Amino acid sequence: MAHQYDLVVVGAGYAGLMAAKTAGENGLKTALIEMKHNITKPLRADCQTLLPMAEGEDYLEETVNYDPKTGVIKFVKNDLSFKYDGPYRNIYAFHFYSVDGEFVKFGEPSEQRKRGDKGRISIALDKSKVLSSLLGQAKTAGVEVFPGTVVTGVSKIDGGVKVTSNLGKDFTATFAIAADGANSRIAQILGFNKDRGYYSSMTVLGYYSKDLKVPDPDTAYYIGAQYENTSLIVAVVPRPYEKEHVVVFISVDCRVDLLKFYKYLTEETKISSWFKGAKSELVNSSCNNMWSTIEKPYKDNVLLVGDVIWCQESENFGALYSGGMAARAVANAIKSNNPTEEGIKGYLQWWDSAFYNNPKYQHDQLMANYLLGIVLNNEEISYLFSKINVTLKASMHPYLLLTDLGKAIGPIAPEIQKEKPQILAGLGRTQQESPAEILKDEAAAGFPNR
Amino acid sequence: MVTIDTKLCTGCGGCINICPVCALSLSKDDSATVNDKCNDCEICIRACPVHCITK
Repeated sequence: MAHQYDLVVVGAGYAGLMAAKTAGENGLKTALIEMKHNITKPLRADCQTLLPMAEGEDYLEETVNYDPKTGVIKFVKNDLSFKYDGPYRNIYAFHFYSVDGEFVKFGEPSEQRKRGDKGRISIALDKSKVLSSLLGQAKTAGVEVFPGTVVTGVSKIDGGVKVTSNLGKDFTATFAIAADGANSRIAQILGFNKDRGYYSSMTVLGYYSKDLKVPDPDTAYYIGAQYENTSLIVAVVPRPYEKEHVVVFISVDCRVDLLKFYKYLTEETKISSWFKGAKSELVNSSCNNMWSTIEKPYKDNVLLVGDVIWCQESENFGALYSGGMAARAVANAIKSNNPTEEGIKGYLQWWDSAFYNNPKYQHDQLMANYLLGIVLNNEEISYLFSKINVTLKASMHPYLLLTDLGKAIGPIAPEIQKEKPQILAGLGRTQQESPAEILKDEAAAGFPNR
Repeated sequence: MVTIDTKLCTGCGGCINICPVCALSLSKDDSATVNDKCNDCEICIRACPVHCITK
């Protein structure tokens, strides 16, 4: 039986749009389904950067390049690219703060800035423009787009897959790509969430701020805090416009009232001076179930990509890249008339070697980045940061941050042990216990869509 | 059935895929909307980061 499409892509975020665009350009008859009506408006909070991009840094055995002259963002080794029609800003350093204003520096921005593009560790993009660029290229490549459509079911049919929606409209295709995010309905329906590790349900608020008084305009800041006995991270990241930032409040515990925490941070802490006289507007939010990684992102002609298969650590890199790789595998399978698991095995082999079984990536490491405010209180975080007086390597690589921080703590550990032994004991927990153990209370309060 | 304050809703969709009965979607202005499949489990109320869902 002939299907309506070669490929139906569910979700028009970075992963789904890149998948749809790549599929369309490879001649596949492609449908793209998205729950939002306005695809180009970023309604889910994130930091809107592309990383890791520091010189010599790779991720998934791949590097990403941006050439402002052509506007092309390109994954070099596997030659996946798209044109970005929007502004950008180099980010030169990453500084990790406590709420009391103590900090650790990953890179000295004045030094990095002197080296121009070679000194950047990431670029800030306008997410709305990324979405509109990708959507435009997908449409040009012939992709049919269905906004305002929520997927309610996915099932196996003869030689393909059927996706059902809330509008009563069904989509049949040879393959489907699930790019429907951390709370993926498709992963749930296909049974991937049944035995998968679950960390917690994470809530996020995203603000756009004007005229923040941050120490350096081209530095991305994290503020690590303990609040109501759990761990919060606030990311303050430059936008590609003068004196504008995206400020993202992240809680690993869904019970925390982030609006109340926003008030606390911006009015009662040392960091509040950054917000004096600034204009901040709540623009988006999110609630994400944080799951452990999927070993084999495929079942019954459905390929899984982006945040569906692992926890968002890659800040858009992994979403764009996995989406493109999956679409390419589908194109190969269809061209070689082999619409089976065997036909798309290139995608599975890539995932296995580049990430899942790559010794560089301890999957739990990402969650460990969020745990500081559970194992240490605010006073301890401040004390620890005040003791680290070296500038660490300029980087925002999610898999290297804690390793580099650990290296800096090593030489001062004896002093810390003498003055505040509870700090080393707290940090030790992140080595001895898994993130899931540390997040037991947070997980109990969450709502995994198994 | 839950009630959604569309003025507060940011349209993040965090509630939609965790709803056990697919009762939520986005309306034309991209704010969340609920249909009569809602069985009052209240998971969406706990999930909403901006507290726009109540009973």
